[in-house]
Amino acid sequence: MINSGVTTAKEAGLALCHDCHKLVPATGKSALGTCPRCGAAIHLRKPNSLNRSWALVLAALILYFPANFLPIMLVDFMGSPDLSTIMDGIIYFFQEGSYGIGAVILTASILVPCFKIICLILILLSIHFRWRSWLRHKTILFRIIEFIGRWSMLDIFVIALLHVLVNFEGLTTITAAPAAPYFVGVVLCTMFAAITFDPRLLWDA
Amino acid sequence: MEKPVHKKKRGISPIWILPIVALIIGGWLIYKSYRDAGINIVVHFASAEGITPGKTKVVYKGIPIGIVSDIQVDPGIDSVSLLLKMDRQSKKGLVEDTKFWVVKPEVSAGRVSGLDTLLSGSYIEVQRGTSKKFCKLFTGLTESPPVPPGAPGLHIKLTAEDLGSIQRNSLIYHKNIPVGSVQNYKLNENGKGVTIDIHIEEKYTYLIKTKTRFWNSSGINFKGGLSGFKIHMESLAALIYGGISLQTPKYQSLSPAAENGRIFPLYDDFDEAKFGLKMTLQLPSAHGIIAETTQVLNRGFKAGVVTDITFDEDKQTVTAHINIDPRAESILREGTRFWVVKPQISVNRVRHLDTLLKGVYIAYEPGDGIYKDYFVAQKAPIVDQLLPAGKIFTLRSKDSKSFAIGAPILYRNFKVGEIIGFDLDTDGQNISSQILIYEKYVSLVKKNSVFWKSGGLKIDAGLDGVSIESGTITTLLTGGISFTTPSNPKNRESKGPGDHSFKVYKSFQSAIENVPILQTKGLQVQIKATDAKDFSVGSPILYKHIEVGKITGFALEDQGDNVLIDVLIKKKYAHLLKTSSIFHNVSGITVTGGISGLELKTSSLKSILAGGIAFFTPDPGDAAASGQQYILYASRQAAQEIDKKLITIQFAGSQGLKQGIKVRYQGIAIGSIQKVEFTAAMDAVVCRAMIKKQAAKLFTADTVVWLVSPEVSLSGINNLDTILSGTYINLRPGIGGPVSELVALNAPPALESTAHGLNIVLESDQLGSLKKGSPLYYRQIKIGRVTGAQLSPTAQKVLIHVNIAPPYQKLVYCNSKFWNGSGINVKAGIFSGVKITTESLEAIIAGGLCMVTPEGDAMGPRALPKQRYKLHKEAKKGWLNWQPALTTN
Repeated sequence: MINSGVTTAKEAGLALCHDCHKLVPATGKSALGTCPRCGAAIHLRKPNSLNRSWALVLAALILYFPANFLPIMLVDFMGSPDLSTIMDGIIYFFQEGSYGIGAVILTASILVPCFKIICLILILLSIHFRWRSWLRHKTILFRIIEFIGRWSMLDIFVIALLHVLVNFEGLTTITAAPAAPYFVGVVLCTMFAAITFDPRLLWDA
Repeated sequence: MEKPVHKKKRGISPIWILPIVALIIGGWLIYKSYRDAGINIVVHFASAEGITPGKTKVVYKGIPIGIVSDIQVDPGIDSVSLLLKMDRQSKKGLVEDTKFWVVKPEVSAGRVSGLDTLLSGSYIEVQRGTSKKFCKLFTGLTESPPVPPGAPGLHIKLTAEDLGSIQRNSLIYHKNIPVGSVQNYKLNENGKGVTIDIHIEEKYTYLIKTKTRFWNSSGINFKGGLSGFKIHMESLAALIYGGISLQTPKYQSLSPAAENGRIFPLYDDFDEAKFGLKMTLQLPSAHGIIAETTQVLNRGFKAGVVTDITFDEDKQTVTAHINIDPRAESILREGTRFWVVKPQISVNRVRHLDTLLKGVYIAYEPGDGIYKDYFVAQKAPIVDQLLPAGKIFTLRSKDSKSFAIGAPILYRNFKVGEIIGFDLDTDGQNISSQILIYEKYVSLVKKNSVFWKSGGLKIDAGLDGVSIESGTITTLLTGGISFTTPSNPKNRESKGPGDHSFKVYKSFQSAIENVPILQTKGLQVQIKATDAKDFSVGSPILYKHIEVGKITGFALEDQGDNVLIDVLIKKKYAHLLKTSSIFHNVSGITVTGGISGLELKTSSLKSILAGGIAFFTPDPGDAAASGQQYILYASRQAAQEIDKKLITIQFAGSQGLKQGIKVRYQGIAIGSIQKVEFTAAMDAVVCRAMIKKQAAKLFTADTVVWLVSPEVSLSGINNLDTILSGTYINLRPGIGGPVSELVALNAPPALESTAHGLNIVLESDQLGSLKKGSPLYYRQIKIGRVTGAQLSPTAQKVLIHVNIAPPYQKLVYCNSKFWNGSGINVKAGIFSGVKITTESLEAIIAGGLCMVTPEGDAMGPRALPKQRYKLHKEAKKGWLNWQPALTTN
């Protein structure tokens, strides 16, 4: 345990309900029972957080490769199908001069998942090996990951929208290609990893 | 302080399933990509036209099995190398003799191929080889390879003297359906002739028998001569690409099916393919006989064709080499006789007229005996045509004009027999001729049958007129005899052959005159005329241009100088004649003309030549009785004008005025101008118009008359009808006593009179774009129109006269508001967009008025005729919200 000069709830014998954020005593009869207010199970730390986060991050890491190397979108124009990976789309936009859109997709679809996975691994490793430096920065990093997680679905939204909008049977259709479920898997895994991870463990370590 | 309980978790959390699953998927994907990883091969092509790296597919039997990953120009820069990424499963097919070629869209007269590539782009097609040796380097073909010898279908060879226009992929046709194609061709090793490999599609292999004939159907086959010409052509595609047609002669359709590799001869053309049995015919002369054209015919059946004519060694005769249709093989017998048929034209006989058009042909009469293929032609036809069955009758006539052997006997212009011979009677007075009536028609000839000559075109001209008569074209050429059998119930007996002789009259006319039973009965009436110069006995009486009777005689009136014309109306038309019928002369041709049209009136041809009388019945009346007397009018117009009144109309100018132009009231013609002349002072034009009596009362002292002619202006075209129908005189009736002299206005009256509806007056400062005819809208429904505009007496205002149509006149109240709805109202704003308001398209061009009526008591009493209103420039606020409940009826 490190002494950061702050008394933690745990040290004070208190636990926070994860659902309604009520502070309940972590000792005595009610110790780690259920929340008297909302009935949720009370834990001092999110249970099994490290394990789950690791599993999810590793899953995301594995899925990241098919998500990026397999084609994500199938554009069928007049009977001639054209498969494109995420990177193909980005290159297309840059070639067309739409740097803004290209940058947004590059950020949301490639950089952000990559960033999330790397950061989560970094944070998890730092807990694992009890690297106690830069704890505050790592926390900020985690907050960023949590925040940007919801934007990673941009690509999927674009494909879903195009699929519905561009559906002229026989002329042009756009459908999701094999990479789409892997991409969803990456985003979901990183998001769940961020949710299951308890940042307090950084300080506990 | 109690220590929190620490629960140690044992084992692996189930969440680890997730990365394991991800790993499995990842592993499977890697395995799959390894498994499916393509085989890179290189194919050299002369050109990479239409090929896009990463897009162009390699297709085998319609399934993509690879993709062009890259294109490189070969070091020699005379070809390109395509890097193909082939599916792993295609490995087995990548053998030494596997062929690659580019499929591009081709649309041309003969073929539409690779149409799918129009949209999907070109692709590379693969044909799998038979070798077992794996290969990664190929050379592409420039076009699709021939069908491999092992492919289903029939592979046969044709031998020909030369290739003609046949090329690879030329189609093989059967009844113009492509059944196969030319795969390859090569010069025979000895340099003589070519061998063509063809492939027949599997589904058509049954067509190929051992006796099937193939011929080159490329191009147009044209053969001609005096005896006509012949064009033979297969499909247009065959014309361009060359083609081969095939057919199995019917009589050999049972020959066994052909096997692969069989060699057939390829004939040069259709006729040669029908190559039949050879025979020779020795002829005294080759006159008229053309090789390859002259036919051997019997009863219209083409048994063969002369292929060649050679001069015999004895220099006295020629020999015709004839190909006989195998179906006609039976004629090659000892007893068969051949002769040449040539046209024969003599004064009274035309024979073999067909040969004039068809050319000379060789006829034969089959005989019996042993097989023989050398014949000597007979010099003349051996037998004449046999007479059909029938009965022979005798006719007597004064001369033999229009008689000829073979000339037809006509009954209602239908050939029922023919003349078989004629001779001078022993006493030298008459000609008796034998006619044959065909068996089927014998019953038409009875004891009372009347015969007359119908030969040629008969024109009997004399003082009593001209009569033209002709039978069928055949009788026009060869003459003939017609007959009729009057229906006589008392005598139904048909006479036996040859035991009754009939007199032949020189014409139908004379037959009618002499045989009372042929004369028609009908209604006898008299027509009184001033003279009879146009008519003759027999002149037709016409009703609606149909001949319903004729003039039978003339007589002078007992006292006075009129002529009484006796007229016979045929019985079946007698009901058309009423006591009120009016007769008029239709003799000759009547031409009335002017700029407004040329009218040429004639009745029948006969009435032009022989004069005629027509009648019409203006009012139904009692049926005419026999002996009724009528008056003859000089023309239909004169006949019609007996109930018309003369009105003279004076015009200041005469533009467009001429004889014949109509006087109309409400669009209906009530009369026409008969004569245009100057007044005594020569300063005006006076028109004499004949007006129908019942319309004459429209002409009163204050009747307004004017000339209507077409007007074309920006705001519209008025009186468009007059462009076609010509100008006419319009009138507005007045009140007062009838007059017979009027002075016309120079222009249409400014104020149009409208008898119906409500007439009101709007006051405005300016007339704007309003004009006569501009509509008045109520809720954008047209309820009235502007009938005219004039300045107010003090010239301070414009008075616009508006007529409200009768169904809408109850919409107008004293406090109704009027405004100018002309033009377009455009309002534009950033948020509201552009709003364009117009009453109607018509209102944009022609101007328009709008009207509203206030609600409730504010509307005031009903509008009175000539009520005055102010014309507002635009609708005031709130007007458009008025919703008065008004009834229009």
